[in-house]
Amino acid sequence: MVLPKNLQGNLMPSEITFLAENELITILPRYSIKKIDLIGTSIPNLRAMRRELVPLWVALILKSQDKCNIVPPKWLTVAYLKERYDDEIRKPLQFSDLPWNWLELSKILLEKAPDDLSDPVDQLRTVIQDLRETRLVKSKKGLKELNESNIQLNGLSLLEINELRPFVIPVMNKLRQLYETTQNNTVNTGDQEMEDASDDDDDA
Amino acid sequence: MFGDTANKLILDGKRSSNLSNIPIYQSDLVKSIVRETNDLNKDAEYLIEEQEQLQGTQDQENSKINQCQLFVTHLSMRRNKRCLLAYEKLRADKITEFCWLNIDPIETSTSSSSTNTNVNQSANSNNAVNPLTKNLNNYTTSLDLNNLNHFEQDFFKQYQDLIMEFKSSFEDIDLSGDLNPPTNIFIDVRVLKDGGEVTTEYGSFNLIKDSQFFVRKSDVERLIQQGYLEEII
Repeated sequence: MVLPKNLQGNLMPSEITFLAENELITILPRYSIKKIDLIGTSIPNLRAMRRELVPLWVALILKSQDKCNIVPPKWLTVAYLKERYDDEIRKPLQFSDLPWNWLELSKILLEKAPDDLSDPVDQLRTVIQDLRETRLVKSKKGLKELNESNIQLNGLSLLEINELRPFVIPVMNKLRQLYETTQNNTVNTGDQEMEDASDDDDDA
Repeated sequence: MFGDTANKLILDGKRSSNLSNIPIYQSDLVKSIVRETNDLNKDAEYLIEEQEQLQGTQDQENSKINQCQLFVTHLSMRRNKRCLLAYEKLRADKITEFCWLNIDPIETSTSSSSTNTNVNQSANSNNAVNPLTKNLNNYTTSLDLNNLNHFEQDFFKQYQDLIMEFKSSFEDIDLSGDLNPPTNIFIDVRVLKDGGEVTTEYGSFNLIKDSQFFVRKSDVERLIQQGYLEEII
């Protein structure tokens, strides 16, 4: 294969960050900039002190040149995240509702635009870390439920799913194979086993 | 027992499957497996003759035994073939992995291929880890042409030509470049080893060891890949 093994079937954290940078985010420009037509998106006319939606990567470039302020998303406040954290504690069987990219977005914003956030950065970091840990414990607990047919991961974010994937998918595949061989009480079980043996991807 | 040598070969392949280089080709093992397969083939031919003689007679018992022998012989042959193919496929995969990285092979042999770079110096065999390959674990990042047998060397050269041909239809995209998503357009780089003169759109700079530049990433990606520069984060 042309792709390295560690890139096959799973995303790298840097790739997930890249995907997160395509999200639209509100900015508060400090200068007026004419409209720029790009291949993928177009950046609208920017007028000073007039809010605009632009892709996050554009916002970061402007921010690094001090040409705009980033308006933090409404979920990136200590109060909101605390509420979510309480939700997590209250409902041990489900994940609370957070954006698909919450981990990456908060990481990027805490790093690149700490001065634009409404709450002190250290408090935000604390509550994000708490959220992350409770959710991790939950997903680890949920691994008990692995079976050959399906698994429900409502409310998990992309990065969290990505952490689970390399473990969960091979395990489920093995379980499925075992299940199928027990179900096959036909005459040609021998053939079936031969096929299964050739299908085995050796993850030993 | 039949298939033991093939098993040895497979174990050797398994051991080397996560190495970053390609170990020497096990020509002795392969030869002995081929010899074993030839012997098995002779047996099979003999058994088929026997079978034909038994066909005429009413000796059901012996005919069955003979069929069984023939079957086992064929199975052993097929197993040998599968092991040989698996071993060769593993090596071929490692060679193709290496081809896509665009690093020059270690030049200990007389035949060496150097890719065209804008640095007026061919890479000599340095065992320094490339910055590009630091995060590639279980990946072939160095290749000694001496460890390949003749056919594999041919395969390597032709595969390189194939890649070149494929890339030529995408002139302005570097398909074998860095696989990490882009972050910044401009980066700071530090020179790791002396090169020569490099010309970019913004003028030329001399690669002198330990000097630093602030350049456009796309201009120097090639040089980072070849280990002349490293990115300063």
